Amino acid sequence: MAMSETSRTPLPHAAPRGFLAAAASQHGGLITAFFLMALIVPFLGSYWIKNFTSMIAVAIAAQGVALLHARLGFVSLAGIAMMGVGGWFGLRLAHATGLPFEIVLVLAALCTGAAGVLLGLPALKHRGLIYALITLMFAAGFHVVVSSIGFPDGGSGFWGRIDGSAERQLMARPAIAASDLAYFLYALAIAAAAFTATHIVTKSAVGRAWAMIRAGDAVAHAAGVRIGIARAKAFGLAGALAGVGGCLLAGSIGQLDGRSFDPVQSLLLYGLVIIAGPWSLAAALIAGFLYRMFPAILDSWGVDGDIAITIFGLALIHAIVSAPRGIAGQLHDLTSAIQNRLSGVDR
Amino acid sequence: MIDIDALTVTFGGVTPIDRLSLTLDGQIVGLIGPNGAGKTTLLNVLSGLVRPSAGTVRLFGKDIGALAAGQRLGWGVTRAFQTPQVADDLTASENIQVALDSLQVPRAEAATRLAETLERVGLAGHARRLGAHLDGFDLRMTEIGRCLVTGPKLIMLDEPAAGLAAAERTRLIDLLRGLSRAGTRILIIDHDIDLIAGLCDQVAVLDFGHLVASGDTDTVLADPKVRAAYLGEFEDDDAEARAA
Repeated sequence: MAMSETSRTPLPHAAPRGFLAAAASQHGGLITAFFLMALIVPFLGSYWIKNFTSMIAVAIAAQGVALLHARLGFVSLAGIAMMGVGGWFGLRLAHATGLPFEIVLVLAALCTGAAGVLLGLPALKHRGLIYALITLMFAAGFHVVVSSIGFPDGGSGFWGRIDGSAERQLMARPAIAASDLAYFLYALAIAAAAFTATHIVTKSAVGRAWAMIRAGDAVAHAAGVRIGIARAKAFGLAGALAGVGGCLLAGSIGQLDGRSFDPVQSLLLYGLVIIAGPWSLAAALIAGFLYRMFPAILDSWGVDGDIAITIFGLALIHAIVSAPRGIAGQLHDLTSAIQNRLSGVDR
Repeated sequence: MIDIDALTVTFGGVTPIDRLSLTLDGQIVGLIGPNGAGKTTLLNVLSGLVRPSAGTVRLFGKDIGALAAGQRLGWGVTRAFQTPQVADDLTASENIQVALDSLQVPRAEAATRLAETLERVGLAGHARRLGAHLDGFDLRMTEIGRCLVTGPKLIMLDEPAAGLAAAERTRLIDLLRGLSRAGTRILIIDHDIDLIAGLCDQVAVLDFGHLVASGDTDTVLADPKVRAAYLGEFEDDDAEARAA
C-alpha cells in the first residue's frame, strides 16, 4: 500500500484536548463494545464464551497488523503466524518453567516482540508488495515447521514435545481465571490493557515519529526521526501484541494445533483488518469478530461458516472502492451524525 | 556560512550537480536557476538527504559530510520542502513537536518552545487542527514551525512562497525578515525573482549543476549572463543582432 493511500484518511477536524477526552472521543465505540461484552457474554453458553475468548485473542493480534498498516504503511501477511509464534513461546515457557500465567504472558510477548523486530528487518530495505510477500513466506514457513514439529505439549528438549504415548499436557490458566467465563473476562481485561497501551504509544513521541515516516521518509529524516529505530519499535509492538494474543489463545484451549496457523489465515486477517478500517483501534475488535464470531454465527444458523470467506471478499472490494475508512470509520460517521442530529448541529 | 568545494552529485547516469564550488555568507541567501539547475539537489545535500558523489560541504566552518540528516537538525540546520510535508493525522502542534521529540528536549522546555513557535508562525488558533484539514498557508507555516522550534542556525526553504496569496506572501516575508533580524540564516530557493530581490542580500545562480554567478543580489540579478540564462533575456550583442 502506497504511503499516499494510507495517509489520505478523512479525519475529524480537531483532536480533543486531553488524553482521556481524546480516548473517549475517538474510541467511545470500542469502550462501549468492551463493556457490552463484559455484560452480555457471561449469559451465553460455554460454546459462545470460548468463541468470544478466541475472538479477543485474535483481536489483540489484529491490533498489530492494523498498527503496521495504518501507522507505517506496511502490509503484514503474517498476523496469525505471529500469533502462533506467541502461542509457541507461551506453551514452551509455561511447560518448561511452571511460572505463573501472567509472567509467561509477558515473556511470550517479549519473545514474540523480538521475533517481530527480526521479521521487520527486511522492511529497512523493502516495502509494499515485496515486504508483504516476505511476511507471507514467513507465515508459510512457520506453518510448515509447526505442522511438522507440533506445538509444545509438556515434553522435554528444545521443542517440548511429548514422546510416544505419554499424555499431552495442557497449558495452565491463571489461578484467578480457571473457568471459561473467568478466563474470558481475564482475556477481555488483557485486551483492554493492550489496546490502551497501543493508544498511549500512538499518541506519544513514538507515534508522532511513525506519522512522520508515513508522511514520507525524506520529511522524517529532515525532522530528525531515526527511521530504522522507529520502525523497529512498531514491528516489536506488533509482535508483542501477536504474542499476547497467541499466549491467550493457548491458555484458552490449553494446547494449539499447527493446522490452525496456515498462511491463508494470516491473509484473511489482513483482509479483515482492511475491511474493519485499520486507522481505528476498534478495527482490531471488528476484525477479531469477523474472523472468529461471524463464521460461528453462520454455523449456528445452519449456514456453512466457510461462506464467510465469500462475503469477506465482497466486503473487501466494497471497503477498497467505497469505504476506505472501513466499518470502524462508517460507524464513527454514523454515531457522529446521530449525535449532531440529537444536539441540533447542522453538518 | 556555506562553503562548497568541487561538489558532485550523480544519480545513475545523471549529474545534477557537477564540480560545484560556491561560498555563501549572506543573512538571507537566494538560490535561483531554471528547472533542473540542481537547486533542490543542493538543498538535499545540505540537509543530508542526498550523499554527494564527490566534494566537500562546510556549514559554519564544519565539514558536515559525515553527519546524518537528524544530526544536522541537532546541529542547527533544518529545512522545509517544496510541497509542505505534514502528517495528516497529527495536529499542527504535534507536527511541530516531532522535531522537539527528535532533539529530546525536556518536556517543560518543549512545551514552552512549542507555544512560542505556534504563536510566531500564527498557528496558535489552529494548533489542534489535524494536518489533513490545514489550508495551504497553514501547512506551510506548520512546516516552517517545525524548523523554527529547533532554534536553528540555518533554515533552508524550497519555494516557500509558491501558491500563496498576496497577503500570505507578505506574512511569510515579515516572518523571514524577523527571523533574519534575530540572527537566523536563511537559504531560499524560489522562482519568484521579486521575492528574491526584495528579501535576499546574496544570490547564487545555478544552471545545469554549474554556478552561473553569485554575489550581492543587485549585482547578480543585473548580470547579463544571469539574465540570459535564467531570466530569458538576450545579451546586448544578441539584441543588436536581432535589431539588425
